[in-house]
Amino acid sequence: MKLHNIELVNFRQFKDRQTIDIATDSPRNVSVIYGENGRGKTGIFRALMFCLYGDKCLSQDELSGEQKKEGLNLVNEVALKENVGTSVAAQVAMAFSHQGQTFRIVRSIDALMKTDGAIVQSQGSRVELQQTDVTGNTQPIETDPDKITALIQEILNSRLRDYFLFDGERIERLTRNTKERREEVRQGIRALLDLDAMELAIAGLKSLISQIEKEISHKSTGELQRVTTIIADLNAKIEKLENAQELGSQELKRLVHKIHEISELVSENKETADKEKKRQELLKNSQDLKVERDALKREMAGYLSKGAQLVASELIEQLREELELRRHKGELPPNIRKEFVENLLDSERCICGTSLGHDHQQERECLLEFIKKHYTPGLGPESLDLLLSLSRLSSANTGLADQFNRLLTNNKKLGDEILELESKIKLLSDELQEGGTNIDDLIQERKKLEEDKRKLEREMDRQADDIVRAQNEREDLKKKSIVLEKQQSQVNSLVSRRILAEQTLEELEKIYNRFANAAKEKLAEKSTENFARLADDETKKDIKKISIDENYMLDVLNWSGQRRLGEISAGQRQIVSLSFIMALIQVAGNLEVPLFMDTPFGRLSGIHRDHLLDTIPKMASQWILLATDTEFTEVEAHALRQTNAWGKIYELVKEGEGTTRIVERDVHQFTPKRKSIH
Amino acid sequence: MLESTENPMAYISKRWESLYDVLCKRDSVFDQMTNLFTLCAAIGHLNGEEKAPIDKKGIFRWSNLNSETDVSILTAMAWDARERDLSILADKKRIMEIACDYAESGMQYLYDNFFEDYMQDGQLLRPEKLDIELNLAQILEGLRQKQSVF
Repeated sequence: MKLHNIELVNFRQFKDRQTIDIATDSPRNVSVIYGENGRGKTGIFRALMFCLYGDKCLSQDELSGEQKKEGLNLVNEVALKENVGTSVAAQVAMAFSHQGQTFRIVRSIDALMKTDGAIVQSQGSRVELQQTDVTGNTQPIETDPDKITALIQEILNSRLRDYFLFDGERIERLTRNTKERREEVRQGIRALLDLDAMELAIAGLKSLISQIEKEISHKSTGELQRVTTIIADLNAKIEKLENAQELGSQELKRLVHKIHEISELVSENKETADKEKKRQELLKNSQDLKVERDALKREMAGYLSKGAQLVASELIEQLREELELRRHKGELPPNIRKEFVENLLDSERCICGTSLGHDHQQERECLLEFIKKHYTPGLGPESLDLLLSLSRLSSANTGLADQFNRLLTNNKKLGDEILELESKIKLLSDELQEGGTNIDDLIQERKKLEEDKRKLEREMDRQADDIVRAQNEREDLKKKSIVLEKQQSQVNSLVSRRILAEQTLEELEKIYNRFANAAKEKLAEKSTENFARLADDETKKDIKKISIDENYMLDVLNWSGQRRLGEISAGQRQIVSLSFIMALIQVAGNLEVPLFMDTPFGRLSGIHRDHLLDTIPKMASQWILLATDTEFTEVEAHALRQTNAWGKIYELVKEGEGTTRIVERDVHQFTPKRKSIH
Repeated sequence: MLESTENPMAYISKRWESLYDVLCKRDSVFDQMTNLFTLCAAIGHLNGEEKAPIDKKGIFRWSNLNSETDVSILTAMAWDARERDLSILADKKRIMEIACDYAESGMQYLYDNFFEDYMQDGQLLRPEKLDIELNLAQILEGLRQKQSVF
C-alpha cells in the first residue's frame, strides 16, 4: 500500500476542504507534518484511522466505556456553530495504490449542533471505495461497508496497523513485559507470516478431535455386549427346549404305538373286542364331530368380523330412523349437492335447457329459496351420506342375528353331542377295564399310558410356549443388536478418524512450531541488525541483541546474555520497538506499508534521531512524520535534508479558535521555529 | 401423505398390542385390525364407557377403514355420543378420537370377561387351544341380548 494523499473536509479542527499530498517517489519518500501542540497532528492520525477503519477514537484517547462507544465528535465545531440545527458532514478521503491499482476511500460522518450547543453525532459513517482507471477516471466500485472493510483488511490488516500507524511515544509499549504485549508481538508475527491459516487448521483439528471423542463416548455404552450375552443365553435355552421337544415327540410316538398295541390285544377278546370296536367307532364319531365343529368355528370367525354390526344393530336402526325423520323435516341437505344448484344459477341455464337468466326471475328465486330452505350453513353432505350408509347397513343386518344365533345353536348342539359321545366312550372304557384279568391289566396299562401321553402333551405345549416366547424375545434383541452393531461399527470408524486427526494435528503442530520458531529467530536477527543501525554507541555497549523468546516476549540481552529490558530507558525501548517493526517489514518480504509516526522523536536523544532519519527512509516504503516544533528542529531538518529522502513538508497553522489550516512549505527552504532543544 | 385431520391415526393402549396381533394375524379370528377395533368400539359404546388409551400405539389410519361398514358405525357412534350434533360428521379426527376411547373400553371388557385368564406377561397363551371364536360369539350374544333389553 502506498499512500498518495489525504483530503479532509470539516474534520476535527480542519475546516472546509484541505489536502495533504504524501511523498511517494523514491528516494523522496519522507513527508513531515509539522505543528505545535494542539494544532491537529493527532487529528490527521485520527483522520487516517477513521478513513481506513471507521474508528471514532484512538487507543490513546482516555475515554470511559460509554464515550468509547459513542466516539469523539469528528465534525468541525466551527462549521457546526455556523449551521446550528443543520446536519454537517465531516469527510476524509484517502488516495492510495496497491499492487498496481489506484484506489480512493471516502468516509464521512454527520453531526448536528442543537440550539443549546449540544452536539449529536450519527452512530455510523458512510463509506465508498473508488478506483482510478488507466485514463485517470475515478469511479465508485464498492459502497457496502462490510465488503470495503474486508478489502481494507486484506490490504492492511487492522491488527497490523499498530505497527505501522502509531504514536511514537507509545510504540515502546511493545517492549513492556505484559501478557497483552506478548500477545501483540505474537499477533504481529502471525499476521505478517500468514500463520493464521495454520492456526485455524490446528484449532479446527482440535475441535474435530473433541467432537469425535464426544461421539465415541456417546456411542460406546457396552450395551452390545450385554445384548449379545442375552441372545447367546436365549439360543442355549431354545436349543435345550427344542431338544426336549424332539425327545418328547419320540416318547409320544412310543406311547401312541404302545397304546395301539394294547388296544390290539384287547380286541382279541371277543366280548371286549366288540366293546372295543364300539369304542373305536364312537371315538371316530367324536373325531368327525370335532372336525365339523372346527368348520363351524371358521364360519363363526367370518361372522365375528361383522360383530360390530351385530353389536351396534340397534344403534344403527335408531340413528337411521332419526336421520330419516330429520330428512323428512327438511333438516338434512337434499340429495342434490348445493354446488350443483349454485352452478346452475351461475351458468344461468338448467340441465333441462330452461334459461335461468335474470329475465327468468321467478325460476331463479325458486332455486334461491330451495338453497335457503335446504342447506343449513355448516352442514355438508356427510349427514346424507351417513343416512345412506346406515340404511345399507340396516338392510345387511337383516338376518345377521339369526345366522349368528344359528351358528351358536349348532355349535352348542355339536358340543353336546361330543360330550355325550365322550361320556359313552368313557363308559365303554370303564366296562372294558372291569373285564377279565388280562384285559384288566392291559386296559389299566393303556389307561396309564394314555395319562402319560396327556401329561407329555401338556408338557410339550408348555415347552412350545416357552420356545415361542424365547424366540420372540430373541427376535427383538436381534433387532436391537443390529442397531448396536451399527453403532459399534461407527465407533470403530470414529476411533480411526480420531487417530488420523491426532496424527495430522501432531504433524501440523510440528510444522507450525518449526515455522514460527524460524520466523521468531529471523525476526530477532533482523531486529538486532536494525537495532545496531539505529542505536547510539553507548546503547550498543549495553545491548548485544534483541531476542524473542518462546512466549513471544521481546527482550534485549547484554553481552553476557542476560536480560536487560527492565533497565533500559523509554527512548531505548522505542528504538528496540522500531527495530522490531522494521524487522517485520523485512521478514514479511514485499510488504509495502507506509510508516506513519505521530510524535516520532519525543523521547529520543539526538544520535538516535539522526540514525532514524538516516535509516528508516531506506527501509520503509514511505515515512510520514507528525512532529512538534520541539522534536523537529533545525537539526532534524538538516539531518533529513542530508538524506535526500525528504519529499514534502506541511505546517499546521492556527487560523482562529478551533480551526487549523494545512499549509504546504518548500522542503528546501523550510526552517523550523527552533534551532534545537538539545 | 394426507394431513392427520383428514387421515387420523387409530390408537390403542400398548398393553393390547399383542392381543390385536394374535387375533388379527393371518388365518386367525379377524381378517383386519379394523374389524376388531370397530367391534371393540361398538362394545365400548354399547356399555357407554369411553376410556383414553394409555401409552398409546398407532395401529392404522382412517383410510384403512372399510368405508361402508367401519366408517359408518364409528361415525354413527361419535354422532350419538355427542348429543347427535350433525356438525361432528365432517370431523374425522374427532370421530377417530371418540372411537379410540370406545375401543379402549371395549377391549378392556373383552379382557375382563375372557382373555384375562389366558394371558401371561401380556401374551395370550396357546391361542390355538382356546375356543376364541365361540367365547367371543357368546360374549357378543350376551351383549346383543342386553341391547335388546334396553
